[in-house]
Amino acid sequence: MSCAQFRESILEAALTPARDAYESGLRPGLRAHLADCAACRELLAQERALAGSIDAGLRARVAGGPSAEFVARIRQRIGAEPATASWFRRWQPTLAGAMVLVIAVTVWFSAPERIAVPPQQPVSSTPQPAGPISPRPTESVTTGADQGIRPEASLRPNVARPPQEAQAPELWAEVLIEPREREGVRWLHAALQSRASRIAAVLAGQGATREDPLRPLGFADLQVAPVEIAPMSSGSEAGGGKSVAQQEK
Amino acid sequence: MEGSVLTGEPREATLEREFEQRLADSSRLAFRVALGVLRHREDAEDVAQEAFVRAYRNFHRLRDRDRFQAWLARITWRLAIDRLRAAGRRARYEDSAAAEWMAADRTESAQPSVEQMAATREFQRRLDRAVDELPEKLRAVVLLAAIEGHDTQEVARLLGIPEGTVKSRLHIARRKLAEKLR
Repeated sequence: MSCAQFRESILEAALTPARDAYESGLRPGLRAHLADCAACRELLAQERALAGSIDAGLRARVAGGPSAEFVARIRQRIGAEPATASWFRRWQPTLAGAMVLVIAVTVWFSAPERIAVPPQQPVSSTPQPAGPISPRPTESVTTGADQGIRPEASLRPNVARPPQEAQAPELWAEVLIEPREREGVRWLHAALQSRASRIAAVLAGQGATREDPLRPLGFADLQVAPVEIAPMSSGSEAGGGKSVAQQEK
Repeated sequence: MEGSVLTGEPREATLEREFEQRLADSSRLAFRVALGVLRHREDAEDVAQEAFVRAYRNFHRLRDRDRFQAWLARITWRLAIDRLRAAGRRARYEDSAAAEWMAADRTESAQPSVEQMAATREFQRRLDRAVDELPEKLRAVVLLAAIEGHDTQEVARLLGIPEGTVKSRLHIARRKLAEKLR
């Protein structure tokens, strides 16, 4: 084998910490090559010298000890620590936790009982954009909760509700639909009413009262009314359209 | 408040006494760890003192007192690294370290020639630079291992890592240093 093939082995061997036992730890092939090759022996010697210098330099870097006053200065600095620091630091985590707890409880009890959602008013039909395009006929569907959908909702569970909540204003929702969707909306409303009444009957059989939290299952009547919107270009006559309300039961 | 079961002394007094003992045992270690990083005696003393003060503040939290030296070595190392980064006094450290090694070298051998001294100084500068450029994990191992009386087992105990890891890191570090200094 050539010297180049042994080079890495020589470099690695030179860095082996236990250099006293180095010769015996050499691989037989490397040992035989070194016996014949003066250049590789020279390389090994150089690398071992370099490793030795590195070790000596590292030892020199961390050699020596502190001055004679070193320990006395530490005692002095420790003595200068505030007397209260020791116990305060020990109880610091506990104190911090207690403060956080107090703040949390204060915030919890000082916050408003409920977060009020403003009651929704019936939404009037929205006029179509002005232009030569004649408005598409639409219908206004309005439904609401006579006793069910609560206009206000409490975000806190298990909190006693104030008495005024029972007198919450009714909530009405008004949407615009295409005439062809009328039957579908009626069907949906009827289905929901039917299911709500069935659930209410089951609850009643189980002794549930009107005060039951499942009250929102109730549905109000459905009103379908056509909406006429005159094009904006018709000037003052734009508002002349009239709605015909059709009440259904 | 709990105290010493054996002596009946208050807990504070027991802690003080224990810490005093650790201080006497570990002052040299803290100083050398700081010196290995900073290469400046006064700064190393200052950092080591600060490390002891911090150790004192938190000594009551240390459950395994046998790990005090490892704990202290880590505190010192971190403070020294922070100091080194903050100070940016590398050039000053280089001269100081080279001068120290020169002094140490003179005691071990006969009077060196001017050429030898210059070569030694230059080599130490290059070595210090190479050590400073090592990744922190390798640097910690190589410097702790260089402290007198520290074998790989002791370094493993101080760093809280397996001895095999110390050996492999040490070998990698020495190889990197040799590559830079060759």
